[in-house]
Amino acid sequence: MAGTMSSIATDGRPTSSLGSSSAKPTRWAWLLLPGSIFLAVLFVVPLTGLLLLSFGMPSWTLANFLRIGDAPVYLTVLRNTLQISVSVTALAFVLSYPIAYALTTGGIALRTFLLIAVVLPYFTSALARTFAWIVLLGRNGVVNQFLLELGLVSQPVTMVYNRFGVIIGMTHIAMPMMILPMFTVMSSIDPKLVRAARANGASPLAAFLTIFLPLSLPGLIAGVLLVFIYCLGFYITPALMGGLSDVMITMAISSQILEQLNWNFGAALSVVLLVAVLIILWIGSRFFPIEQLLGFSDGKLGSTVARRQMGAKILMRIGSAANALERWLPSMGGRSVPILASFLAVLLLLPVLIVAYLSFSASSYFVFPLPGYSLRNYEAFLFDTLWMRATFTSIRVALMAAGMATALGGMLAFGLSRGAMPCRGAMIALLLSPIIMPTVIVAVATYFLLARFGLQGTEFGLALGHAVHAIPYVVVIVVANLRDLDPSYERAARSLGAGSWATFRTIVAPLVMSALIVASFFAFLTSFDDVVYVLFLGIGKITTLPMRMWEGIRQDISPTIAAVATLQMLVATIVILVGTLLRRQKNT
Amino acid sequence: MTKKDCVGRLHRGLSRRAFLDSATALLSVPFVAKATAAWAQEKLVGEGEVVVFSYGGSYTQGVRKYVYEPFAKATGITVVDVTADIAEPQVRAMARAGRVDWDVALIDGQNYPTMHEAGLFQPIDYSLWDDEALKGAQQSARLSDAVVAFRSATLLAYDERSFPKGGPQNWADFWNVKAFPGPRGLSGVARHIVLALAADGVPNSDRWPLTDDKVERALKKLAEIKPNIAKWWTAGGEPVQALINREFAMTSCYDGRALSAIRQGAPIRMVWSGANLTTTYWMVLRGAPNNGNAQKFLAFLNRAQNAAGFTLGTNLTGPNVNQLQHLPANLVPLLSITEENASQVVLQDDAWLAAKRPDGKTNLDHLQERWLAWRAQ
Repeated sequence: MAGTMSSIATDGRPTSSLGSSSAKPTRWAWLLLPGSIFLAVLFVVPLTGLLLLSFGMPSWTLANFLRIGDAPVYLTVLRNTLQISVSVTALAFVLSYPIAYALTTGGIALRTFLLIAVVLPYFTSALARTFAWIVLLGRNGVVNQFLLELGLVSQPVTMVYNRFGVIIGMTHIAMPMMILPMFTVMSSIDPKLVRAARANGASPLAAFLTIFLPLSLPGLIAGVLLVFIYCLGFYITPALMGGLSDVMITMAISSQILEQLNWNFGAALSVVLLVAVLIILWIGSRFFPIEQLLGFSDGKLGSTVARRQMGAKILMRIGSAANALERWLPSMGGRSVPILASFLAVLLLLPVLIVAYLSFSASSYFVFPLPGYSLRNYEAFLFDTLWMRATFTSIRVALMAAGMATALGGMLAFGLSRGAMPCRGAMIALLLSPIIMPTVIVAVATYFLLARFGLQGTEFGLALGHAVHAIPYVVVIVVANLRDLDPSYERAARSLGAGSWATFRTIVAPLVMSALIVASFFAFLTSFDDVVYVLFLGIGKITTLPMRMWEGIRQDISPTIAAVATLQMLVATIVILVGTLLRRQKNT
Repeated sequence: MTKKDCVGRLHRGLSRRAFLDSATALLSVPFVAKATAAWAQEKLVGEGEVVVFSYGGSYTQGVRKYVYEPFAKATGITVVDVTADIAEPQVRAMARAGRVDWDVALIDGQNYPTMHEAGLFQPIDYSLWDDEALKGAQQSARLSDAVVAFRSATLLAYDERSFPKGGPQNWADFWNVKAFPGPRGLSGVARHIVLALAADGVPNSDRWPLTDDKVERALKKLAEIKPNIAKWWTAGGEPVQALINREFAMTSCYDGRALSAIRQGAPIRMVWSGANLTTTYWMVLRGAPNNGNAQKFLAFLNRAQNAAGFTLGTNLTGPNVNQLQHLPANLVPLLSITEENASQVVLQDDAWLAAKRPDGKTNLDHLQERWLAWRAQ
């Protein structure tokens, strides 16, 4: 790691079009230093120690890997995992793009509504949301009642407790992670470009396909990448909404670590997972230039030009085909995208609204429809010191984690996209590993490190662990947005006499601010939503809000968690509305 | 009361047990209760804290109210909760890191043999225990370095609204979808496949050890019922929730969860026949910072009155049968330790599950892997 760093700092040749002084890329590369040291100490070293267990340390053996090879079931589970992850990623992509598009191009009312619809599901506890899906899709659920009433079916349709249920539940959770990176990139696309295309005779569809879509690619790739990796780590949703055969690899690994205490074997399974995912990403990068699309400047200028020329040819053809097609498409007066997006947003909100409804239950169980209304769940939350303490603990930890992750991840993103270096692929793989590895493995490894310094069971220690997990999200989101930050702006500022800090403050910061806000939002939420790191890093002494909620479902399935989720959503809604109002005030 | 108190002190260490064996039989129930409470003040008194693992949620609420608060009042020792789903991974991690932050934890019986061999537990100081407590809990519940905290039955539970003319009486009825129609639930936990053996007519006494032929037989039987299983549940709260919502007409279920729902008025019935009984132990961690207080905690907890409090507060039943005298009469028939229920359930063979096979895997590992292969196919 340190070796990589020094080679970046000294050997990294300036190959980007910047080229004004040879010192620049080196200076950019220095930004990689803090984040790299942070990840090396808190992730690479402890994780290596734990993964070496898979080789039976200290007595070397391949027995654990041979056992995986012997039992075809683990390959079946890995295949299941990949199938589910790919399906969810594809579905989330198809559903997210129109929303992200409308979020960028719509009016302020529509934008605010969509933003709330996208963000709120993220604030509902996975558990309350799962129950809401069961209320909607269950045997006696709302949808089945509706279908039976209409006479469309004669028997209730099974929509949960099978693969369909898993994919629906996971897609719902994963969509914000797809939409927000798309949105940040789309909103930096200059609308004049599309208008210019239209003025030159492109139909709306052609203008979209040839101008908007290609320019939105970095956000799209970032979203797809994040969602795909995020899906690999799911284990609560498939367990609660899936069928018997919907076993995902993280479930198998967690069971080895937590229930069977076979840490060596669990570590071996994780190594297999990591290698499999990195191979998939590597193969993916052969077909889709992930690095480039994410926004890393390419070292070889010549190949870019050739590729660009080819790309332009393809785009021309797509454009003329779209122009021809447009005549045959029914026109909805340009309203089709907002209507579609609003419809999808309502679907996103539906389970969330059910959670809010359930929170007013008078029963001590989740019952639908409610037998009576009451505020008992709110009282149970607000007047319980344990719940309140857990809430404040979660907020403190998440703020610390988000602060560290945004600062370090932001610097890493700048360093990566501006400082040219030979082994950037390896660096990216390393940066993504914290979210590819099952959290339970990273958590155990980090615990041993923290225990050495007496930081186990402290909020700061937990925040350190959460920050490691949040950095990849920050990096991917920020990098995707840096692509369109033209270095010539900075050069212009400098040539007018601005120092580095002034340039950063007046040019760079305002342009990447929205990306940094979205990134820190994700960092905050990954910490705020965690139920695994806290088990080890908190070593029982720290109780966070999601942990209390998880206890709630393991112990009682009490509707109190619905009240907690509803209050979280209320806070999120207020934050969004206030933000919108403030921005409007500033603009007028 | 004073008489027993004095005599008890006089005989301490020597023939106390022999004396009390006969004495308790003569003494009336409330008399014993008062006597032990008074005794507690001079015997288990201490200071500081004891760090005790807790499952969280309603368990923690109940145990704090019914056990920890009386314990603090009687002894002056405060109980600090440390919370997680299960304690084993953290106990192991702390031992490995050499920084033990907890004193007392709950350990699943299937993990006991391995962790015992690894030397993770401190010996239990039974000299602090009341004679009544020693007598009320079977010898088999009191190991050298662990003591049974509760035994949990995985039993058949059904929604009585679905069966007005009488519900299923055993696991064979669970498989009989003609006579007892309706969607069913089963657990996705490997060791619960033994319930299929009960349905297939394997006598309770032949259930363990769970040899490979029995595993295959159970899986074959499970394949029969698989189309009727609406959901293979994971979290312990799920089956109760699904019975209440009529997502299930009947299901396998932990007795504690069913009991908790029944006490809140849910229309659920428990069937004990052929249930799988698992054990959870209290243990004191080796290197525990407050070992002395931990020992006092366990001694206090196992007194009949406090054991009854534990049952009332958590719906989980400890081994001391003397607690039955302190519990409401309508609750007693719903507990696994009453004679009628105890005679119908089968204790899981944890020693066999932890034993190594020729290929180096434990029987439990093998069972998990076979189960995973069956479910993932």
